Amino acid sequence: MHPIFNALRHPLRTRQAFRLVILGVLSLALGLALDWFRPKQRLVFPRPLPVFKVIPLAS
Amino acid sequence: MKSIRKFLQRISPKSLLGVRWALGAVFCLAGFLKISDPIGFHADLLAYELPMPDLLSRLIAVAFPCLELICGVGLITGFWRQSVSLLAVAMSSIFVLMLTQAMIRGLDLNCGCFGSARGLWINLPFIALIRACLMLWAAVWLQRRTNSISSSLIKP
Repeated sequence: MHPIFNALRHPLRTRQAFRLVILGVLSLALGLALDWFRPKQRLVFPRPLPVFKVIPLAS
Repeated sequence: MKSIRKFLQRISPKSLLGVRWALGAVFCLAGFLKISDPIGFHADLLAYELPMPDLLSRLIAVAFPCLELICGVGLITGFWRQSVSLLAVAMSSIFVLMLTQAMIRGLDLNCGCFGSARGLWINLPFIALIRACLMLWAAVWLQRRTNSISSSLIKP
């Protein structure tokens, strides 16, 4: 087997890779949550449509 | 040469914590400033003119600052020490690569490392590259020290 695969099969390396994946997923989830809860600064989710006030015409 | 190595070995246990905290503080500050202004960071990211889809650049602009913040907190607290120091090496390498390619291509940009404050000397590409190289050196040293301490603890 290739040395890289052998290195990855080492328990410590496997654990490190698993932890790095957890950190990546956690940061992505945190980033998306922050994006969702700040509607004015959204980058991924669509921004809410602007609300126009209806001004009644003067009679 | 031997005396330098001995000196480094002597100071390394004390400085390990200092370097870890300093690196963690830099990552925390950078992450926090980027989180506070995601649109500015996205604009800085686009200035690097990397060939990637729009959605990917947006996802990076959203997730990368959080990863930086998590990395900084991990370095300061010592949680998952080995993995977090490996992450610090990877992120510092990315900074160095990005800034180097931008300088080679002659792009006039704001590095975006500490938010999108334009005109600050700290955000000039050359200064940012020196800082990124220092961070990479510190992160590699930290990773090697952490690994050597862990392996010495594992071995009888």
